[in-house]
Formats: sequence, C-alpha cells, structure tokens
Amino acid sequence: MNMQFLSLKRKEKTTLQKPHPLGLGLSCFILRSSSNFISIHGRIGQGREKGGKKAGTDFGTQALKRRGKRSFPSQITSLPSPNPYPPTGIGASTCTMPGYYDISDILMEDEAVSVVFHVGANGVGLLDPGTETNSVEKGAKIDLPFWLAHELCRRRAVSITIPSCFGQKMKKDVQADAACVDLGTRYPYFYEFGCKLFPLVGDKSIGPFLRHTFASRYKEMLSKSHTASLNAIPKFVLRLSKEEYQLFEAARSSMVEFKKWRVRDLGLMKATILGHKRKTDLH
Amino acid sequence: MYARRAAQLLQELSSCEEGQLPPFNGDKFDQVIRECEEHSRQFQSLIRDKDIETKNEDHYGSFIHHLSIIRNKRCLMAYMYKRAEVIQSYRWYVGRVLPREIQDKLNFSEQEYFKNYCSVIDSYMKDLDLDLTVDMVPPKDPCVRVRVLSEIGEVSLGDHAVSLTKDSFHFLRRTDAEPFISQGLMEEFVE
Repeated sequence: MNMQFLSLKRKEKTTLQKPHPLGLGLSCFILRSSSNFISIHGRIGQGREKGGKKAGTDFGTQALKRRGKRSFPSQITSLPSPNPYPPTGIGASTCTMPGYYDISDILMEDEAVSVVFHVGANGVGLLDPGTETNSVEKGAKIDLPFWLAHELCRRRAVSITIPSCFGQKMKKDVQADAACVDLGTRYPYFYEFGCKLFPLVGDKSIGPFLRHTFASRYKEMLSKSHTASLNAIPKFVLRLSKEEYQLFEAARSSMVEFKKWRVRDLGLMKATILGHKRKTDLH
Repeated sequence: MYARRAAQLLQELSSCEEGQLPPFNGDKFDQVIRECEEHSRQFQSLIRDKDIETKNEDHYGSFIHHLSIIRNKRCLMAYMYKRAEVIQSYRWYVGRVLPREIQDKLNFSEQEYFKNYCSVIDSYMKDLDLDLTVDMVPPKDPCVRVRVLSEIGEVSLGDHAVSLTKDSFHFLRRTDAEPFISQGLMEEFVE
C-alpha cells in the first residue's frame, strides 16, 4: 500500500495511465470480505467483473463493453488519453480508467475549482462575472469547472488552489469522526476528484488523506451495508459518496442473493404431502 | 456556455433509474449545438490573422473556446451513447415491439436505430436458426404454468392451437410463453 504513495511522491508529473492510487490499498481490505465483494467492487477497488449481471452497477457492464468499443475521437490538444486496452499483469485487477463515454466521470469533472490565472485570456469574459471587458485579467481569481482548470493547469496558464473539501477544516472533521462526514450531499465525487486533483496541486498530503478517510469510513460501512434492509434507506447512506454508494449497493445485493441461495433447496424438495392442509376435525 | 448546459443534459440522464430513459431533450440538445457554434465563431475571431505560435492572450482565449467545444462534444456523445445502450437493452428485455410510453421518449433517429438493431439481430438469429432472446435467465424447468391476464384468443403453438381466454391457466413450454409474459399479457403462476 505505501509503495503506491511513495511512487506518486517521487514523480512530479503523473499521467492518467497511473494505476488508481487507492487501488492496491483497498484490495487489501476487500480480501477480508466475501468473494462477492471482490467481484463487484466498483470503482475504487477497480475489480474485474465476473458475472456482470449481478453487479447491477453501471460501471460493471461498461467495463465489459469498453473492451469492444474503443474509438476515441481525434483531438487537436494531446490529452493523455486513457489507455484503451485494459492492462494485463499484476496490476490489472486494480486498474481500469474511466472511459470517454463514462457519464459519472464527465459529471465529476464538472465540479468547480478556484483558480488563479497566470496569463490573460481574451474573448472569454463570460467566465468571470465581474469583468467589464470581454476578457480575463492576469491574476484574476475565478471558479472554473475542473475539466477546464485541468487543461489550463497542464499548460501552466493557471494554478489551482486546493478546494475546501481537502482543506484544513475537512481534515479536522475526518480526524474527529470520519464516518459522520457528509460526503454524499457536499462532495459526492470526493475520492475521484481527489485522485484527479492530486497531480496538479502541490500538496502531497491529499493521497494519504484520501486513503485514511476511506479506510475509516469503510469499517463502519462494511458492517452496516451487510445488514441493511432492502426497502428502507438508512440515513447513513445519504452521507456516502458515489463510489462508496456503489460498494454499499453491492454488499446489499450480495446479501439478498445469499439469503435466496440459502433457502433455494427447500422449494424444490418440498414434498407434495406437506402442501395438503391438515384435517382439523378427526371425527 | 462553457458546457454547463451539456452537463445538465447528462444530469438528467443519470438521475433516471438503470435501464430507464428520460424523454429525449431535443431542445437542450439543440441549445448545446448552438453554443458550440457560438464558441466556434469566437474562436475564429480570436485566431484570425494571428501567428499560431505566439502565446498571447488571444491564444489562451481561443484555447478555452476550443476546449469548450471538445467538452460539449464529449457530453453530447456520451448522452447519445448511453441512450443507445439502453435502447439496445430494450430489444433484449422488452421485445421487438416497444410499448407506447417508451416510444414517446425516443427521438425519431433513435426509433430508426431500434428498428435497424432489431433487423440486425433478427437476421443473425435467422442464420443461426435460434431465438436468442428467450431464456435470458436459464430456466429450471422447460415448462411453466401461466395465467392469462388479458384476452389473447386462439394462438397456435407448435402443432396444436390453444385458446387463451382471460384468467385461464395453461401449462406451456417456456419458449412459447415468454413473448406473452414479457409483454405483460400473461403471468407466471408461482406456487
């Protein structure tokens, strides 16, 4: 687990082909859970899907289909495009990158970050509501969607300030009680966002912080999700981020399947004589 | 501008349940395309008569417009792709004929896509001489007891004809009963 973060610290520039920083660490947690958990362990663990139908997660069927449909449109700017072929080898089971068509990835990149412009830019006055001329000044502080900030940062046109979700207050909240932090309403893409933000911002502590948060929340979520009832939505589910919610759903559905499996034989082997009603009056 | 509307389109799509579609939002779709045209106009005005290599302010402005167009394109493509996936699944889980409510949600070109997809699957199944759409879940039993929910009338199944009146019980082969069950005209009778 620690090796992943050491390698991230050493290299300054990371590309999107890096294995997911939480991947290896989380697979250790998963090994302790049921085997079902391993096979349908959504985005964070990046497990391979076996028997894709049961997973019920969008990501599962997409992972299967992605192998067939890989045609990235040509782009003028050279984005580090996600590796089109799933990697093989030891790291394979922990790493599948979100695809071009992945909707939750697109929605995640729409999160706003605050940036400071190093250069001016003409003709884009709509980005900055406070400007009179149709341009952005050098040194202006603006909120941009993450996809835009990411590209501009790569070209050294802006610098990204760390958003509040990874700031000091959040760190204190997590230290106090990680399981109570409300990620579902405030930052539903907490982990994914952190992983993408990590290489762009100078702060090296985001990686370990994310892992620590997830680890602390996982313990409680594991026990609660296996015992959660199917119809009622427990309150703590609203506090889960998107990735944690997928795990939660996976656990819940696997428990349902398990219960069905436990009673499966009774239906077939029920003798017909048991179906007859007992005659109560024996006269 | 700057792909916010496109993101709203995708929000709408992702808020639906798995396997369901919201109605095709043609208005927003067209608005996003118009936004792309606007970005393209601004882009053209910023790079006119300028040397591409100099990284002045116009360069960055035009770059932002270019990125917005790429982003809008990605959002629209993802929208179409997700809807196409769901439409494909309709063929397998609903059948050849779509009920009215689903058809109303589809764009004209999506309906065409569905028809073409059906004909491709049908020609493939004809070559194999095998109906692939039955038995999506492997059955435990080749025959199944069914109860007819709405009046169907005389149907010839295999070599004999069965009259399927309302609320009658039959013991049919699963392959024969499946099309009716998926349309909701029969239900499986489970003890």
